[in-house]
Amino acid sequence: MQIEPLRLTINGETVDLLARPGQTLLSVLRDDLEMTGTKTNCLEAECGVCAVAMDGMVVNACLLLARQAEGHEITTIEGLAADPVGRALQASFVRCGAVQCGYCIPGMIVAARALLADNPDPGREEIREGLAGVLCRCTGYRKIVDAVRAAADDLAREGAR
Amino acid sequence: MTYHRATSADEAVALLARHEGARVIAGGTDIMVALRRAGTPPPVFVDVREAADSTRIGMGATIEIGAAVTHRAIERHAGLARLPALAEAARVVGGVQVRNLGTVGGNLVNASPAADLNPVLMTLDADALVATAGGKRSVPLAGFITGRGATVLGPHEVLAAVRFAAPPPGTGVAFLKAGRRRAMEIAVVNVAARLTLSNGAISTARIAVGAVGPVILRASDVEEALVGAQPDGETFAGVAAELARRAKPRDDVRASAEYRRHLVGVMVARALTRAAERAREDDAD
Repeated sequence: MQIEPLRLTINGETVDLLARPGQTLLSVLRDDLEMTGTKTNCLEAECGVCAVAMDGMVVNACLLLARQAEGHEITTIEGLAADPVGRALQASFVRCGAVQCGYCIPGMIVAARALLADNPDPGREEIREGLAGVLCRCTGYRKIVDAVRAAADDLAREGAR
Repeated sequence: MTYHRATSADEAVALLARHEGARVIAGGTDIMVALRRAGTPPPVFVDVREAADSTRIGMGATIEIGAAVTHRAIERHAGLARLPALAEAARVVGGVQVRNLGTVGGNLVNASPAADLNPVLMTLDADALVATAGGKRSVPLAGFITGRGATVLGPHEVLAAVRFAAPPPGTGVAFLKAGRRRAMEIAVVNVAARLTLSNGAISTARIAVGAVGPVILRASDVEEALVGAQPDGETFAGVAAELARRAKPRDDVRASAEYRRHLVGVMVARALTRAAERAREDDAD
Protein backbone atom coordinates (compact mmCIF):
# COMPACT_ATOMS: atom_id res chain seq x y z
CA MET A 1 0.00 0.00 0.00
CA GLN A 2 1.27 3.41 -0.90
CA ILE A 3 2.39 5.63 1.95
CA GLU A 4 3.65 9.16 1.69
CA PRO A 5 5.71 11.34 4.05
CA LEU A 6 3.79 13.98 5.95
CA ARG A 7 4.93 16.76 8.26
CA LEU A 8 2.43 18.18 10.73
CA THR A 9 2.61 20.80 13.46
CA ILE A 10 0.58 19.57 16.41
CA ASN A 11 0.36 21.46 19.69
CA GLY A 12 3.47 23.39 18.75
CA GLU A 13 5.57 20.34 17.89
CA THR A 14 6.72 19.20 14.45
CA VAL A 15 5.77 15.62 13.74
CA ASP A 16 7.07 13.66 10.74
CA LEU A 17 5.22 10.54 9.82
CA LEU A 18 4.02 8.42 6.92
CA ALA A 19 0.37 8.68 5.88
CA ARG A 20 -1.85 6.48 3.74
CA PRO A 21 -3.59 7.99 0.72
CA GLY A 22 -6.88 9.53 1.82
CA GLN A 23 -6.00 9.22 5.50
CA THR A 24 -7.83 11.74 7.65
CA LEU A 25 -6.27 13.90 10.33
CA LEU A 26 -8.41 12.10 12.90
CA SER A 27 -6.94 8.76 11.91
CA VAL A 28 -3.39 10.13 12.06
CA LEU A 29 -4.01 11.57 15.52
CA ARG A 30 -5.61 8.50 17.05
CA ASP A 31 -4.14 5.58 15.12
CA ASP A 32 -0.60 6.76 14.33
CA LEU A 33 0.13 9.24 17.11
CA GLU A 34 -2.01 7.59 19.80
CA MET A 35 -3.41 10.99 20.72
CA THR A 36 -6.78 9.66 21.73
CA GLY A 37 -8.03 12.83 23.41
CA THR A 38 -9.72 13.67 20.10
CA LYS A 39 -12.65 11.28 19.83
CA THR A 40 -14.09 9.24 16.96
CA ASN A 41 -17.80 8.71 16.38
CA CYS A 42 -19.94 9.55 13.34
CA LEU A 43 -17.07 10.22 10.89
CA GLU A 44 -19.46 12.49 8.98
CA ALA A 45 -18.99 15.87 10.70
CA GLU A 46 -22.38 15.60 12.38
CA CYS A 47 -21.37 15.08 16.01
CA GLY A 48 -18.25 17.20 16.53
CA VAL A 49 -16.44 14.92 19.01
CA CYS A 50 -13.45 14.98 16.65
CA ALA A 51 -13.12 18.77 16.77
CA VAL A 52 -9.58 20.16 16.68
CA ALA A 53 -8.34 23.67 15.97
CA MET A 54 -6.52 24.50 12.75
CA ASP A 55 -4.85 27.91 12.90
CA GLY A 56 -7.24 28.68 15.74
CA MET A 57 -10.38 27.72 13.78
CA VAL A 58 -12.38 24.77 15.01
CA VAL A 59 -12.77 22.02 12.38
CA ASN A 60 -13.79 18.36 12.32
CA ALA A 61 -10.71 16.16 12.01
CA CYS A 62 -12.78 13.28 10.61
CA LEU A 63 -13.24 15.05 7.28
CA LEU A 64 -9.89 16.77 6.93
CA LEU A 65 -7.28 14.92 4.92
CA ALA A 66 -4.11 14.75 6.98
CA ARG A 67 -2.29 16.23 3.97
CA GLN A 68 -4.59 19.27 4.09
CA ALA A 69 -3.35 19.98 7.61
CA GLU A 70 0.25 20.26 6.42
CA GLY A 71 1.55 23.83 6.80
CA HIS A 72 -1.00 24.68 9.46
CA GLU A 73 -0.98 24.75 13.27
CA ILE A 74 -3.12 21.97 14.69
CA THR A 75 -4.21 22.19 18.32
CA THR A 76 -5.88 19.26 20.02
CA ILE A 77 -7.39 18.90 23.47
CA GLU A 78 -4.02 17.62 24.67
CA GLY A 79 -2.53 21.00 23.81
CA LEU A 80 -5.10 23.15 25.56
CA ALA A 81 -3.57 22.80 29.01
CA ALA A 82 -0.67 24.92 27.75
CA ASP A 83 -2.99 27.88 27.25
CA PRO A 84 -4.69 30.01 29.95
CA VAL A 85 -8.04 29.95 28.16
CA GLY A 86 -7.80 26.18 27.77
CA ARG A 87 -6.94 25.80 31.45
CA ALA A 88 -9.81 28.06 32.50
CA LEU A 89 -12.22 25.93 30.45
CA GLN A 90 -10.88 22.65 31.80
CA ALA A 91 -11.34 23.94 35.36
CA SER A 92 -14.79 25.42 34.82
CA PHE A 93 -16.11 22.32 33.04
CA VAL A 94 -15.21 20.26 36.09
CA ARG A 95 -16.39 22.85 38.60
CA CYS A 96 -19.76 23.42 36.87
CA GLY A 97 -20.57 19.72 36.58
CA ALA A 98 -20.54 19.90 32.77
CA VAL A 99 -18.90 16.47 32.39
CA GLN A 100 -20.96 13.29 32.53
CA CYS A 101 -19.71 10.47 30.31
CA GLY A 102 -17.03 12.80 29.01
CA TYR A 103 -17.06 11.76 25.38
CA CYS A 104 -18.12 15.11 23.92
CA ILE A 105 -15.98 17.15 26.27
CA PRO A 106 -12.76 17.42 24.26
CA GLY A 107 -14.80 18.62 21.26
CA MET A 108 -16.76 21.02 23.45
CA ILE A 109 -13.63 22.49 25.01
CA VAL A 110 -11.84 22.86 21.67
CA ALA A 111 -14.92 24.60 20.23
CA ALA A 112 -15.30 26.74 23.34
CA ARG A 113 -11.63 27.73 23.18
CA ALA A 114 -12.08 28.91 19.58
CA LEU A 115 -15.25 30.78 20.54
CA LEU A 116 -13.60 32.61 23.47
CA ALA A 117 -10.57 33.50 21.37
CA ASP A 118 -12.92 35.19 18.94
CA ASN A 119 -15.40 36.58 21.48
CA PRO A 120 -14.17 36.77 25.09
CA ASP A 121 -17.57 37.86 26.40
CA PRO A 122 -20.19 35.68 24.72
CA GLY A 123 -23.83 35.61 25.76
CA ARG A 124 -25.56 32.26 26.26
CA GLU A 125 -27.04 32.31 22.74
CA GLU A 126 -23.62 33.00 21.26
CA ILE A 127 -22.17 30.14 23.27
CA ARG A 128 -24.88 27.82 21.99
CA GLU A 129 -24.19 28.90 18.42
CA GLY A 130 -20.45 28.42 18.86
CA LEU A 131 -20.95 24.92 20.27
CA ALA A 132 -23.81 23.94 17.93
CA GLY A 133 -21.51 21.63 16.00
CA VAL A 134 -20.77 19.37 19.00
CA LEU A 135 -23.49 17.05 20.27
CA CYS A 136 -23.95 15.84 23.84
CA ARG A 137 -26.28 13.00 24.75
CA CYS A 138 -25.88 13.25 28.51
CA THR A 139 -26.10 16.75 29.86
CA GLY A 140 -28.81 18.66 28.04
CA TYR A 141 -26.11 21.32 27.44
CA ARG A 142 -27.08 23.71 30.24
CA LYS A 143 -24.05 23.06 32.43
CA ILE A 144 -21.78 23.09 29.41
CA VAL A 145 -23.03 26.59 28.56
CA ASP A 146 -22.66 27.54 32.24
CA ALA A 147 -19.05 26.31 32.17
CA VAL A 148 -18.13 28.35 29.09
CA ARG A 149 -19.70 31.47 30.62
CA ALA A 150 -17.92 30.77 33.92
CA ALA A 151 -14.57 30.44 32.14
CA ALA A 152 -15.19 33.75 30.39
CA ASP A 153 -15.91 35.35 33.80
CA ASP A 154 -12.81 33.76 35.38
CA LEU A 155 -10.60 35.01 32.56
CA ALA A 156 -12.09 38.51 32.76
CA ARG A 157 -11.43 38.60 36.50
CA GLU A 158 -7.85 37.41 36.01
CA GLY A 159 -7.30 39.95 33.26
CA ALA A 160 -8.61 42.73 35.47
CA ARG A 161 -5.99 42.06 38.15
CA MET B 1 1.52 11.16 -5.24
CA THR B 2 -2.14 10.87 -4.40
CA TYR B 3 -2.62 14.45 -3.21
CA HIS B 4 -1.87 17.67 -5.05
CA ARG B 5 -2.41 21.15 -3.71
CA ALA B 6 -3.37 23.57 -6.48
CA THR B 7 -2.29 27.19 -6.14
CA SER B 8 -4.90 28.39 -8.63
CA ALA B 9 -8.06 27.20 -10.36
CA ASP B 10 -6.12 26.97 -13.64
CA GLU B 11 -3.52 24.74 -12.02
CA ALA B 12 -6.32 22.54 -10.69
CA VAL B 13 -7.64 22.16 -14.25
CA ALA B 14 -4.18 21.04 -15.43
CA LEU B 15 -3.88 18.58 -12.54
CA LEU B 16 -7.28 17.08 -13.32
CA ALA B 17 -6.23 16.56 -16.94
CA ARG B 18 -2.97 14.92 -15.87
CA HIS B 19 -4.52 12.55 -13.30
CA GLU B 20 -7.51 10.72 -14.77
CA GLY B 21 -10.16 10.10 -12.16
CA ALA B 22 -8.81 12.72 -9.76
CA ARG B 23 -11.35 14.50 -7.60
CA VAL B 24 -11.39 18.12 -6.53
CA ILE B 25 -11.49 18.70 -2.77
CA ALA B 26 -11.83 21.97 -0.92
CA GLY B 27 -13.30 21.80 2.58
CA GLY B 28 -14.17 18.14 2.08
CA THR B 29 -17.47 18.46 3.91
CA ASP B 30 -19.47 16.85 1.11
CA ILE B 31 -16.95 14.76 -0.80
CA MET B 32 -15.36 13.06 2.20
CA VAL B 33 -18.77 11.96 3.47
CA ALA B 34 -19.77 10.71 0.03
CA LEU B 35 -16.51 8.78 -0.42
CA ARG B 36 -16.81 7.17 2.98
CA ARG B 37 -20.39 6.09 2.28
CA ALA B 38 -19.44 4.74 -1.14
CA GLY B 39 -16.65 2.74 0.46
CA THR B 40 -14.44 3.13 -2.60
CA PRO B 41 -10.66 3.49 -2.38
CA PRO B 42 -9.60 7.13 -2.10
CA PRO B 43 -9.06 8.91 -5.42
CA VAL B 44 -6.18 11.20 -6.27
CA PHE B 45 -7.15 14.49 -4.66
CA VAL B 46 -6.66 17.92 -6.20
CA ASP B 47 -6.97 20.32 -3.29
CA VAL B 48 -8.22 23.80 -4.17
CA ARG B 49 -8.88 24.91 -0.59
CA GLU B 50 -5.91 27.28 -0.63
CA ALA B 51 -5.87 28.22 -4.32
CA ALA B 52 -5.06 31.93 -4.09
CA ASP B 53 -7.52 33.30 -6.61
CA SER B 54 -10.31 31.15 -5.22
CA THR B 55 -10.15 32.35 -1.63
CA ARG B 56 -10.75 36.05 -2.23
CA ILE B 57 -13.87 38.16 -2.07
CA GLY B 58 -13.59 41.04 -4.53
CA MET B 59 -15.85 44.02 -3.93
CA GLY B 60 -16.75 46.64 -6.52
CA ALA B 61 -19.29 47.12 -9.29
CA THR B 62 -19.00 43.35 -9.69
CA ILE B 63 -18.74 41.26 -6.56
CA GLU B 64 -16.67 38.14 -7.02
CA ILE B 65 -16.62 35.39 -4.41
CA GLY B 66 -13.86 32.85 -4.96
CA ALA B 67 -15.05 29.25 -5.07
CA ALA B 68 -12.91 28.31 -2.08
CA VAL B 69 -14.31 31.05 0.15
CA THR B 70 -15.71 29.39 3.25
CA HIS B 71 -19.19 29.92 4.66
CA ARG B 72 -17.51 31.35 7.75
CA ALA B 73 -15.69 33.96 5.68
CA ILE B 74 -18.96 35.02 4.04
CA GLU B 75 -20.61 35.23 7.45
CA ARG B 76 -17.95 37.60 8.70
CA HIS B 77 -17.15 39.71 5.63
CA ALA B 78 -17.84 43.35 6.43
CA GLY B 79 -18.06 44.37 2.78
CA LEU B 80 -21.08 42.13 2.21
CA ALA B 81 -23.05 43.80 5.00
CA ARG B 82 -25.32 45.53 2.47
CA LEU B 83 -26.57 42.07 1.51
CA PRO B 84 -27.27 40.56 4.94
CA ALA B 85 -29.09 37.63 3.34
CA LEU B 86 -25.72 36.23 2.23
CA ALA B 87 -24.38 36.15 5.78
CA GLU B 88 -27.73 34.89 7.07
CA ALA B 89 -27.68 31.98 4.63
CA ALA B 90 -24.01 31.21 5.27
CA ARG B 91 -24.57 31.26 9.01
CA VAL B 92 -27.26 28.57 9.08
CA VAL B 93 -25.14 26.00 7.29
CA GLY B 94 -24.00 23.22 9.62
CA GLY B 95 -22.11 24.29 12.70
CA VAL B 96 -18.95 26.33 13.08
CA GLN B 97 -16.65 23.42 12.20
CA VAL B 98 -18.45 22.80 8.90
CA ARG B 99 -18.56 26.51 8.07
CA ASN B 100 -14.83 26.87 8.69
CA LEU B 101 -14.12 24.32 5.96
CA GLY B 102 -17.16 24.17 3.67
CA THR B 103 -16.91 26.46 0.66
CA VAL B 104 -19.30 28.42 -1.53
CA GLY B 105 -18.02 26.55 -4.58
CA GLY B 106 -18.26 23.13 -3.02
CA ASN B 107 -21.81 23.86 -1.93
CA LEU B 108 -22.74 25.01 -5.43
CA VAL B 109 -21.14 22.06 -7.21
CA ASN B 110 -22.68 19.61 -4.73
CA ALA B 111 -25.99 21.00 -6.01
CA SER B 112 -28.26 19.87 -3.24
CA PRO B 113 -31.73 21.31 -3.80
CA ALA B 114 -31.67 22.31 -0.12
CA ALA B 115 -28.41 24.27 -0.35
CA ASP B 116 -28.70 27.52 1.58
CA LEU B 117 -26.42 29.97 -0.22
CA ASN B 118 -27.48 29.00 -3.73
CA PRO B 119 -31.00 30.49 -3.63
CA VAL B 120 -29.59 33.80 -2.37
CA LEU B 121 -26.96 33.86 -5.13
CA MET B 122 -29.64 33.12 -7.71
CA THR B 123 -31.73 36.10 -6.63
CA LEU B 124 -28.65 38.23 -7.26
CA ASP B 125 -28.46 36.90 -10.85
CA ALA B 126 -25.05 35.42 -10.13
CA ASP B 127 -22.89 33.66 -12.68
CA ALA B 128 -20.55 30.73 -12.11
CA LEU B 129 -17.04 31.38 -13.39
CA VAL B 130 -15.64 28.07 -14.59
CA ALA B 131 -11.95 27.41 -15.26
CA THR B 132 -11.29 25.18 -18.27
CA ALA B 133 -8.23 24.17 -20.26
CA GLY B 134 -9.15 26.81 -22.83
CA GLY B 135 -9.71 29.66 -20.37
CA LYS B 136 -12.61 30.77 -18.22
CA ARG B 137 -16.29 30.57 -19.11
CA SER B 138 -19.26 32.14 -17.38
CA VAL B 139 -22.54 30.26 -16.76
CA PRO B 140 -25.64 31.82 -15.16
CA LEU B 141 -26.30 30.05 -11.89
CA ALA B 142 -29.81 29.04 -12.90
CA GLY B 143 -28.35 27.08 -15.82
CA PHE B 144 -25.36 25.76 -13.85
CA ILE B 145 -27.37 23.32 -11.75
CA THR B 146 -29.22 20.78 -13.89
CA GLY B 147 -30.63 18.37 -11.33
CA ARG B 148 -30.20 16.92 -7.87
CA GLY B 149 -26.44 16.76 -7.42
CA ALA B 150 -25.80 17.59 -11.08
CA THR B 151 -24.14 20.57 -12.73
CA VAL B 152 -22.81 21.46 -16.16
CA LEU B 153 -19.24 21.24 -14.88
CA GLY B 154 -17.19 19.09 -17.26
CA PRO B 155 -14.70 16.44 -16.06
CA HIS B 156 -11.65 18.69 -16.38
CA GLU B 157 -13.31 21.89 -15.28
CA VAL B 158 -13.10 23.61 -11.92
CA LEU B 159 -15.38 26.25 -10.50
CA ALA B 160 -13.26 29.35 -9.93
CA ALA B 161 -15.70 31.89 -8.54
CA VAL B 162 -19.26 33.14 -8.29
CA ARG B 163 -19.89 36.65 -9.60
CA PHE B 164 -22.75 39.11 -9.53
CA ALA B 165 -23.24 42.79 -10.22
CA ALA B 166 -23.55 44.85 -7.05
CA PRO B 167 -27.29 45.49 -6.92
CA PRO B 168 -28.59 49.03 -7.52
CA PRO B 169 -29.73 51.27 -4.65
CA GLY B 170 -33.17 50.41 -3.35
CA THR B 171 -32.45 46.67 -3.26
CA GLY B 172 -33.28 44.31 -0.41
CA VAL B 173 -32.56 40.59 -0.20
CA ALA B 174 -34.06 38.27 2.41
CA PHE B 175 -33.41 34.64 3.27
CA LEU B 176 -35.45 32.29 5.43
CA LYS B 177 -34.81 28.68 6.33
CA ALA B 178 -37.18 26.24 7.99
CA GLY B 179 -35.83 23.25 9.85
CA ARG B 180 -36.40 21.28 13.00
CA ARG B 181 -33.49 23.00 14.76
CA ARG B 182 -31.37 26.06 14.25
CA ALA B 183 -28.07 24.44 13.38
CA MET B 184 -26.70 21.24 11.85
CA GLU B 185 -29.88 20.91 9.82
CA ILE B 186 -30.64 20.53 6.13
CA ALA B 187 -33.44 22.91 5.11
CA VAL B 188 -36.96 21.57 5.12
CA VAL B 189 -37.74 24.57 2.91
CA ASN B 190 -35.66 27.66 2.28
CA VAL B 191 -36.56 30.86 0.44
CA ALA B 192 -34.54 33.74 -0.93
CA ALA B 193 -36.29 36.87 -2.18
CA ARG B 194 -34.84 39.98 -3.76
CA LEU B 195 -36.67 43.21 -4.57
CA THR B 196 -35.43 46.40 -6.13
CA LEU B 197 -37.85 49.28 -5.68
CA SER B 198 -38.11 52.38 -7.79
CA ASN B 199 -40.44 55.22 -6.74
CA GLY B 200 -42.08 52.81 -4.33
CA ALA B 201 -42.94 50.17 -6.94
CA ILE B 202 -41.12 46.94 -7.77
CA SER B 203 -38.60 47.28 -10.59
CA THR B 204 -36.87 43.91 -10.12
CA ALA B 205 -38.10 40.79 -8.34
CA ARG B 206 -36.36 37.46 -7.86
CA ILE B 207 -37.61 34.54 -5.79
CA ALA B 208 -35.86 31.20 -5.28
CA VAL B 209 -37.27 28.32 -3.23
CA GLY B 210 -35.15 25.38 -2.15
CA ALA B 211 -35.89 21.83 -1.03
CA VAL B 212 -39.16 21.56 -2.93
CA GLY B 213 -37.95 19.77 -6.05
CA PRO B 214 -34.82 18.43 -7.72
CA VAL B 215 -33.58 21.95 -8.45
CA ILE B 216 -34.20 25.31 -6.81
CA LEU B 217 -37.63 26.56 -7.80
CA ARG B 218 -37.76 29.72 -9.86
CA ALA B 219 -40.71 31.39 -11.64
CA SER B 220 -39.43 33.96 -14.11
CA ASP B 221 -42.93 34.71 -15.39
CA VAL B 222 -44.06 35.56 -11.86
CA GLU B 223 -40.94 37.68 -11.38
CA GLU B 224 -41.64 39.56 -14.64
CA ALA B 225 -45.27 40.10 -13.72
CA LEU B 226 -44.18 41.81 -10.50
CA VAL B 227 -42.46 44.65 -12.37
CA GLY B 228 -44.44 47.82 -11.67
CA ALA B 229 -46.48 46.18 -8.91
CA GLN B 230 -46.85 47.57 -5.41
CA PRO B 231 -44.75 45.78 -2.78
CA ASP B 232 -47.70 45.12 -0.46
CA GLY B 233 -49.20 42.19 1.41
CA GLU B 234 -51.83 41.44 -1.21
CA THR B 235 -49.25 41.22 -4.00
CA PHE B 236 -46.98 39.03 -1.92
CA ALA B 237 -49.79 36.71 -0.87
CA GLY B 238 -50.64 36.09 -4.52
CA VAL B 239 -47.02 35.32 -5.42
CA ALA B 240 -46.62 33.02 -2.43
CA ALA B 241 -49.76 31.06 -3.32
CA GLU B 242 -48.58 30.64 -6.91
CA LEU B 243 -45.17 29.38 -5.88
CA ALA B 244 -46.73 27.00 -3.39
CA ARG B 245 -48.81 25.66 -6.23
CA ARG B 246 -45.74 25.12 -8.45
CA ALA B 247 -43.57 23.52 -5.79
CA LYS B 248 -43.01 19.76 -6.13
CA PRO B 249 -41.99 18.77 -2.62
CA ARG B 250 -41.52 15.20 -1.44
CA ASP B 251 -42.39 13.40 1.76
CA ASP B 252 -39.17 12.53 3.55
CA VAL B 253 -37.78 11.96 7.04
CA ARG B 254 -37.74 15.67 7.79
CA ALA B 255 -41.22 16.73 6.71
CA SER B 256 -44.25 15.85 4.62
CA ALA B 257 -44.81 17.24 1.16
CA GLU B 258 -48.02 18.85 2.41
CA TYR B 259 -46.21 20.70 5.19
CA ARG B 260 -43.50 21.84 2.81
CA ARG B 261 -46.08 23.22 0.42
CA HIS B 262 -47.68 25.08 3.31
CA LEU B 263 -44.28 26.47 4.31
CA VAL B 264 -43.67 27.80 0.80
CA GLY B 265 -46.87 29.84 1.02
CA VAL B 266 -45.89 31.30 4.38
CA MET B 267 -42.19 31.84 3.79
CA VAL B 268 -42.34 33.37 0.32
CA ALA B 269 -44.71 36.06 1.59
CA ARG B 270 -42.56 36.65 4.66
CA ALA B 271 -39.32 36.83 2.65
CA LEU B 272 -40.83 39.28 0.16
CA THR B 273 -42.06 41.47 3.02
CA ARG B 274 -38.60 41.52 4.57
CA ALA B 275 -36.95 42.16 1.20
CA ALA B 276 -39.26 45.13 0.66
CA GLU B 277 -38.37 46.53 4.11
CA ARG B 278 -34.67 46.20 3.34
CA ALA B 279 -35.14 47.73 -0.11
CA ARG B 280 -36.74 50.80 1.46
CA GLU B 281 -33.89 51.07 3.99
CA ASP B 282 -31.33 50.64 1.21
CA ASP B 283 -32.89 53.50 -0.69
CA ALA B 284 -32.90 55.72 2.36
CA ASP B 285 -29.12 55.30 2.89
